[in-house]
Amino acid sequence: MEELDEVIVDFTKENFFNYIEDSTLKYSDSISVRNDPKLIYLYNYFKHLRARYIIAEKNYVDKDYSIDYSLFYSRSFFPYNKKCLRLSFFSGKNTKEKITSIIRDFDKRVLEDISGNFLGFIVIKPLAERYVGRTVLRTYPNEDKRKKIIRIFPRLANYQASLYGMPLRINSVAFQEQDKAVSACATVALWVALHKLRDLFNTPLLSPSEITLESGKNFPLLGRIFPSEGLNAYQIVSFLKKIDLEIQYIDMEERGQIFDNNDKVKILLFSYLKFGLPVIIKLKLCTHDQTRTAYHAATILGYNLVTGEKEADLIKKKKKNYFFYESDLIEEFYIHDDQIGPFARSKFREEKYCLENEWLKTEWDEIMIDDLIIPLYHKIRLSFFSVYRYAELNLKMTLIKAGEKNNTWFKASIYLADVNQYKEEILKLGLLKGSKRIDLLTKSLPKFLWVLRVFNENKLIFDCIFDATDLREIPSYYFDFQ
Amino acid sequence: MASKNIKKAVIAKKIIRQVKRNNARFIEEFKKEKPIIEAMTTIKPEKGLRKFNI
Repeated sequence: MEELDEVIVDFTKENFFNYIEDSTLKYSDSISVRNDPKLIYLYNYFKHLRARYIIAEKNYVDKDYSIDYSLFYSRSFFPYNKKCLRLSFFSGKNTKEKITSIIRDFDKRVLEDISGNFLGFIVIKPLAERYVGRTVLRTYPNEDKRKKIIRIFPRLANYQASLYGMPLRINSVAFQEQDKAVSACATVALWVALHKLRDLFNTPLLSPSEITLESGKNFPLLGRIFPSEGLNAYQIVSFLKKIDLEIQYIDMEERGQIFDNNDKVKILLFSYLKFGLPVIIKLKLCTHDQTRTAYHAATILGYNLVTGEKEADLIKKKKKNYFFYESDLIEEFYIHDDQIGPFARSKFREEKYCLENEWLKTEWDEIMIDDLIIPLYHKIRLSFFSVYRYAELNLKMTLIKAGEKNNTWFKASIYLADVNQYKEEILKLGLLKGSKRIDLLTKSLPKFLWVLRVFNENKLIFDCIFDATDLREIPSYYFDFQ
Repeated sequence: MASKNIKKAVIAKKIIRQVKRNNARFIEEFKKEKPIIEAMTTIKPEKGLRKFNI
């Protein structure tokens, strides 16, 4: 028991960085570990989650790194270590005592307590300056009363971390940083997306080296596959097609009249994120004088919605026009950006398509959305644009007229859903009564739907349902909830 | 309160009826936008080959 006591240490900055420094000593120096922005970000993240203890497992075998090792590092002359360090984090005052007690004497209730205080883990790879391997963290709390927001991370993946025989569950999306050898940012953006897509569409999970290799083979270029020089859009798309997915690609430089402001981009992002789809975002990074430009990829996984006074203030402004979209309530998005960290907060600046996040603290002055790639199941055939333009060209005008006439306002939301998710919502929201409710819940509906939902002063009044598996550009069903 | 609810029920039904009536016109208007949408959703070679590697 004494040994176990030594393994469970207090969560302090010193302990956090000491562990990482010890495990990467052969490859890095203390200064680069302690100044690494991703590690500082992760330390602050756990601090925010009120971590109290760290448990370190040396010689941890990580599947992703093992594959990367076999495809690249094992053939180097330099003796890279095959094994990693895993750091697990816990909150709760007495968690240390509970862990030592459960190992002595198993108790289901104590295990539940420990599981409830489990905040996630970080795998530290034995590499120089690219330490962060597979990392699974608890998300920020959903409700933040102080900030007056609700954070939404739809359909998180389920992970189970086994620690000393204790099955610890966590809902999240795995993160890791590029290693510059087998992966650059685009590979990692795809790797993150695969962690979301597995539960949604039964697609495989591959390691970064496997993704880079497949992309390089599917769309060969004159440059090398390893060390990875990054992927281009064709390679990203060809990889997704290789695993039997289709894509929705959006070139933001061609936005024209369709996306003439940031609020309209929010409608698009909301529509896919609410379903739980990862959105691969391609960013253009520029300096003020535009003399330097670079391109970066990351994956958007969630968003927030303002509540309370913030929501009331926004509604006050928007209701003058009698109509607005639910996505107007979004203040920030949560992005797995391998050069910042997991669930990195990003918000739109006033300038069109420009984001505000940690990148602006580096040498770059402008972060602009260049392209979006959304992986889709092949049966999702109807595009977002059909539904969005239906809302803009047909529904909006009708609602504005009704709003003017009756001195009331409407809110609409557009989102993709599958039939199970949609019916579950109807069931939980307690919509309709008696035979109307039974009719809707037992109705045969397409597997994938586009929902165009209309609220009258925050009360849901009707849904226009588009069959997403077809090409019909008008709703197949209208469900009146009054 | 009850009368307000009834009024809203009338609104919802009316709106659905109106948007259904507008469907044919929407299809015609949407046809005009298709080239713009196609340009937006197609990867152009100069962009498709651009590497993302920061």
